[in-house]
Amino acid sequence: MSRIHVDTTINGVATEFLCEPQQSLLEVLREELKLTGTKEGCATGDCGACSVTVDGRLVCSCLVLGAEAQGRKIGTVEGIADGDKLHPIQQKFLEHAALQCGICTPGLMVATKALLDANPDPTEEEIRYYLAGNLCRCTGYDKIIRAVQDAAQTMRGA
Amino acid sequence: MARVFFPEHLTQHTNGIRELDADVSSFRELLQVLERRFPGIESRIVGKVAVAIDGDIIHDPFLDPIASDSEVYFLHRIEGG
Amino acid sequence: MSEARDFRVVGTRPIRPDGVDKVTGRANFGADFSLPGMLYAQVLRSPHAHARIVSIDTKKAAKMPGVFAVVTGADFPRVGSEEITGGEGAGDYRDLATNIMARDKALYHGHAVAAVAAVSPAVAADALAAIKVKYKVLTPVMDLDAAMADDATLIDETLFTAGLPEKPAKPSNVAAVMEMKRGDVEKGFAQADVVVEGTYRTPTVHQGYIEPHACVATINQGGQATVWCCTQGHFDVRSASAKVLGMNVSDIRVIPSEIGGGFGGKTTIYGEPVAILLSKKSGRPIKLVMTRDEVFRASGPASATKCVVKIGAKRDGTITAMSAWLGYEAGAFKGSSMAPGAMCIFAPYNVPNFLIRGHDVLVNKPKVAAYRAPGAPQSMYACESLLDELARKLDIDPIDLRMKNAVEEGCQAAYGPKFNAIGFKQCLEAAKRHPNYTKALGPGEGRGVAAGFWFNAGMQSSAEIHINEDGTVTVIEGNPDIGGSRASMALMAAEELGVPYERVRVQVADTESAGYTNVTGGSRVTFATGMAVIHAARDIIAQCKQRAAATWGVDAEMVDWQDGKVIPKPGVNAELKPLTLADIAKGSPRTGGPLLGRASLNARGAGAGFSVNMAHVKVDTETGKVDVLGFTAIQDAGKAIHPSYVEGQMQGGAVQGLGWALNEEYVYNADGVMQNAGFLDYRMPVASDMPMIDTQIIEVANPTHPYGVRGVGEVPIVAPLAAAANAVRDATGVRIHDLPLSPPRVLEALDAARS
Repeated sequence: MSRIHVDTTINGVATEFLCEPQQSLLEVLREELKLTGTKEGCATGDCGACSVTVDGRLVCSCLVLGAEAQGRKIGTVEGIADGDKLHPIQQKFLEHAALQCGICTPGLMVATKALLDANPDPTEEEIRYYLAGNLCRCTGYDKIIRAVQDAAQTMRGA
Repeated sequence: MARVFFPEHLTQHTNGIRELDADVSSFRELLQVLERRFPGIESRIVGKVAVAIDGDIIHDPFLDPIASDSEVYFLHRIEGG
Repeated sequence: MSEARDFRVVGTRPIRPDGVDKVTGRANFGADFSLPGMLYAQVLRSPHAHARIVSIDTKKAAKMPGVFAVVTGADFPRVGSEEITGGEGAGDYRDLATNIMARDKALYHGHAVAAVAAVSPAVAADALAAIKVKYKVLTPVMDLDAAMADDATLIDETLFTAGLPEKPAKPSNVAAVMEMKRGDVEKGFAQADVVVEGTYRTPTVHQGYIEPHACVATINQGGQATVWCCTQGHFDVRSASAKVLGMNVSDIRVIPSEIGGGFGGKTTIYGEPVAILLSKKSGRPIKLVMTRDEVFRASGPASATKCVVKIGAKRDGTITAMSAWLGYEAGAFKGSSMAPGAMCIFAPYNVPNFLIRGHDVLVNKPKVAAYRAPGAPQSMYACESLLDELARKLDIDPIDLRMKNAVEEGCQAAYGPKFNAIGFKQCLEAAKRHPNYTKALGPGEGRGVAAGFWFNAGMQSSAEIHINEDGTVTVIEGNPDIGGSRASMALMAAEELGVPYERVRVQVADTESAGYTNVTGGSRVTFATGMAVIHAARDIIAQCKQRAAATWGVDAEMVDWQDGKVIPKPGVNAELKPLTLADIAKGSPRTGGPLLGRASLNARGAGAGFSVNMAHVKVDTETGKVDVLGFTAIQDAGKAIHPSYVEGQMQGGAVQGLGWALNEEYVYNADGVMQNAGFLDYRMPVASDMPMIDTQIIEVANPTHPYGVRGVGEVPIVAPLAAAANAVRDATGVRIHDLPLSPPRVLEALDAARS
């Protein structure tokens, strides 16, 4: 099976890789590029642990083919911090203890950033429905919602 | 004398006796007393059941002291999840 | 002994020391590890729920290009029957080995029958497809009733029911029975003014950790293996793998990765021995990761149960008698959580007469594993639901009914010993006073209350503390961190040593670098490992006093430790300046060498935990959907070292319990094949399903821990099941006995009640 050559941009960095036709973007990120921050929870698009953005759109990378990254801009959890400074979303999750085991956290970082980029002042209900695609089994979601609310407030400069 | 209590499944090895008094000052001594009285019971206890001495549950007791007014309960080992 | 004191850092809410790596994606979980030359393993699994394995032909697969090794049950050594010295339901090493790779029978759909190692997942999948297995299909036994029927198909023809006075004449699917009794139940029921009875069923459910089981294993030509894996207990991975493979314990090094959830489901092993064996055969490192589908079908869910409960009480609410018949599904091998279920069911109450009969039953489903307070959610769901019925019948407030019969310090627990200091009554009082208890209910809404209990475990822990040259502190311990325990260890070490929290780092070390430590589970880490950390810190303090005394040329009794410094006692040379940890560390080469503190213990006296939960629901009578509008979790934590993470346990457990109550279940077809082995249809709560979870931490100090700590991790999952069911009853007037209270079932019950 011959591999496909892909040119893409990941977290603002021009990147090229080879992948098999059936490999998902998730597999490529983790196995080919060793960007293991994005996690596999189910590989069927039901848990959100593999959340990335493709041209700014929040997707499950397990449902995107590696080859589809051609010419696109991919955003992963590794690109959220600003150099050695944590993003407010990351900081607030830590302050609110909004993570326990941490496996869902990378996906939540990406999803929360996508939410707040699109809607800087969401209601609790809007937050809960936007993040409904990110399963967390440890926290019961309470502290996650509070962290997102606090991050939104901080980012609005409010 | 310490009072010693057995759960149902251990009473099969104590001739049906559910509780008894024991003049012992440590769990090690208690094991010796019980094995003398009910030969074979030690292998049903060591590594198999837990013990509560005065309300404190212990896995793998041996050197733990038993006072003259202590209550000793054998119970199933519970590890949790 | 715990001392009442003002804490300096314990009880505050600092950021956990491992947090930054988790929010940036740097933290390495089980599947994040790679080694050069690594091969990918996949497992071939039985398509039948119950079948004899007639033959396995792996020749074609083994010859495929890119395939480096193939194993079946025949490649594993024979393992003798030996009880696993663990906790309830731990089982037998021979069963464990057989579960990891089938020998002559496939005992559930998904049971591993072979495994391959290949250059890529795609080649591995092709190799699996090339393995030919001949099965003789047998009748699957898929639930308690079928398994216990007189004419039931036998799953293990060599299994005779244990726990009976005499060994039975015929084998059975009932692996064990257990009885607990007190007083005379018949007399007790005769004394009652009111007797209520109910039969309650709970389905097979999964712990639902988001991270699938994953490991990388490598073994060299000298037989020394290294395993990187996600686990709640790497020392157990080592000992169990050694038993299954017939290896020396010292020849296996297990390095725990970060773990993406466990809840009890990762206290046993599945792929690690398979990966080690494939590594041996191929000479290469092996990566073996379960898919989500495999996690559902072939790891260890929690027992489905049937509980028949009866309660008798006086008109004033005093309980006179309780009885329970409990049936717990163990799955393909013996060892369910029936025993703790039986021990917990009546634990919160003073019951003068009771009789409990429990049954551990085989079915053709995956062998169950622990799930947060194993056994208690199921049995206490039944009792707490029935107590709600009793309260209605007696027209007594449900909290008052429980208060009337509540255990307190000095009462004898249903499972035997007398309770030491406990906080059940305090939780009940707090619930009664809580504004959520009297909040107005709208149309279609209801409120339900229930109590929860768990023993909490002690067991073995080791800890080492190193004082670095600059006076910073490194704590070495052996408990994978699921819930923020590194923060709690750092808080306790900082408290004891009188140093800022930020100058303490906690390392979860592997089996060759940490002293032996039992699992992260059983609500034991903050209690037992915390105790070890405190003792190791006190060891450091004792050494510091000696070193300072030596530096000053005075006797060791002439110095004191205060606020992180050694000072001369009053009366001793007042010109001596206090020595800090950093000072003593700097001088340590001259005063005896590196500063190393250690402690290892078998912790006793874990304090029992109690909770009271309140659920506020709204039921849509047209769709049967139950919406949780509010939930209040009140629990005795003894002493909350880091309150945010205690609240986190309460909230996380509450939502797992609500999922169990409202929608989670394994759905099987007639052939015993799970139909919903994915997160879409095994529907766990998502963010939009849940409200904020209100918490209240009660602190009744546990006298056996230096800071009064009581385990908190497991209790939270127990009460939500009945709290939700009681709330649905309150909202609809209809009592539904079988979980989950999913929309079709609620609708069916409402329709039946109407007709």
